[in-house]
Amino acid sequence: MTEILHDIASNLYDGSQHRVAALVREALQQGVAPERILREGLIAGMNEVGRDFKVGDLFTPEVLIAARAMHAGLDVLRPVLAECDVPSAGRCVIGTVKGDLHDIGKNLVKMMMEGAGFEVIDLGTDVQPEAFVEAVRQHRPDLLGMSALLTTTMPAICQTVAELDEAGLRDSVKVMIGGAPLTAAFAREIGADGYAPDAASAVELARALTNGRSH
Amino acid sequence: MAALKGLPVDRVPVFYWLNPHATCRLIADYQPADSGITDCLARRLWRRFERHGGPEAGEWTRMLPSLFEEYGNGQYALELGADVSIQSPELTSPSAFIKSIKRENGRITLSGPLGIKMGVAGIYAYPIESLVTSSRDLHTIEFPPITDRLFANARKFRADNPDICVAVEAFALQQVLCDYILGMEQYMLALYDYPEEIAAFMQRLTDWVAEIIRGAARAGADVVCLADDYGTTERPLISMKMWKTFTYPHLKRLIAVAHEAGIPFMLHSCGYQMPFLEYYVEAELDLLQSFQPKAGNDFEAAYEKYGDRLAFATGIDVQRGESMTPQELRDEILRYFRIGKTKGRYIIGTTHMLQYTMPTENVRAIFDTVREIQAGLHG
Repeated sequence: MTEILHDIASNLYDGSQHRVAALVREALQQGVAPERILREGLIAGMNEVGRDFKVGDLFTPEVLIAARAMHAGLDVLRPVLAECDVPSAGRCVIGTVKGDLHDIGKNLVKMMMEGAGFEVIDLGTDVQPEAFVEAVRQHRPDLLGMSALLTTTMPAICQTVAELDEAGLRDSVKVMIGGAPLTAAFAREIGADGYAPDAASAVELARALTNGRSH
Repeated sequence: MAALKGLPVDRVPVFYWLNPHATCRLIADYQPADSGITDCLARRLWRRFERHGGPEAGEWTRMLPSLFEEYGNGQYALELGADVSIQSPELTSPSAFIKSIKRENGRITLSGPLGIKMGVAGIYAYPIESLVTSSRDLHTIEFPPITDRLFANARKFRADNPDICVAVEAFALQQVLCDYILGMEQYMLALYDYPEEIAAFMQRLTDWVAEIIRGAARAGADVVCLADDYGTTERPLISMKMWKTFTYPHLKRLIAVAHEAGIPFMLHSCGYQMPFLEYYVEAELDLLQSFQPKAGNDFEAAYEKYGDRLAFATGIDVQRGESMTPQELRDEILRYFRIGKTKGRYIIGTTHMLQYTMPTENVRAIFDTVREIQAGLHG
């Protein structure tokens, strides 16, 4: 039983999406608990991808194909998981801020977080502050992730934090930020809860900020 | 040109790369443009942009300062004291794209490089429709013919400014797929899913860019400039193995084409560059521009190892500079200058486009410090 979970993780690492989907089906047929397939197969595989990405052994294309394989496995697993009511690691609303259409960093964070068991609501790019606020009101996430690649769009992050505050929602959500021009100092300055320099670090930060909470 | 070879220069050359909105703001608030009409128009566009909330303004107000992209990096950069001016052939020139602006379903659209349909977000235009629906269809993309007419502006600028280093843009390689055709994510997936199609497209693209380089040389360019981002924060965008397979051979070939045409090659590449340097040197790249400290690049180490074979245009940190004090920014420019002057292959340059968001006192610190360096006040 452990062997098939190891195979799922290993094929996910290699980005073999069709093989991962087939192995997840096979594991379900063998009677492996869906939660084990998720945790010890898919999440374990993505964790390894995250570790190797962080130390520079893997690069963005490898993360993308691994995430695609994870989704192929999740597509098989999701209907079964829904029946079992498996808790997620936390809920996160994520988006690239107003005026900025760069999405690769945001997408990587989304994929890595999903791979770590978080439920991610992706608002896309060029997201207005009020859309972030509305999403926080509607989805009640544990985390709000904002990405900006341009120095000219950094003020939109401050604006969103201020609007969250005005809406009385700031204390209900942890705010994490990332993107090429951003720094930990900037995060502190604008009152965000954390800054992550890369997607793997974003997962670590998300785990630290949610402190093991689950939905 | 002497600085590219490490030869003695009468003053350290300067390269300013300005965002068009920053150009308008500099004209309005820092240094008027020499031409009265240009000055008046830039001021009006900037004041309107400012009055309507900058990035909050309507699409036209946000977009119109883009008219100043070529002027800012051409004539106005010279008026600010730059020694290098960038000229764009009509294929990649923002003013050519702006001619195609129209309103469609209530939004501005324009036709970008290779005829790609673009829309506006923030202060930039972005592709909104792909030329192909799948990487498998890359072979259907056609490149427009390269004629000398496309370089008319560069040729005129060359003739009008005989003493200035004129750098003509030659578009991009990897970036063409990442930014304009597939998007970053699809490009990266295609490296695994459709490697033959990517390789074949890169070959055709390189043939086409080689023609642009030859056209630039005929137009009198002193330097040809390719903009291709290979890095992100503290890492390459793709593995070095993939870069060496899919991009490097083409970059190397284009550098050779420029050298055959008798002109040096300048590469603008964002993000972490440290692992690429040995290949740049192997390919005989002449000048690397940007080299952002924020991305993890160590200028002192890079210059120590490669500064006798590769020139760098860097040192004005426009990313971190926005949150520095004027004194910190000044100290940083001087620190780079002191490293750069040890081997001479150094051009004082912005680490990306100077943006309109740079605090006014920091703008002053940049230009004052550079003038002091050029006047010889710092050795």
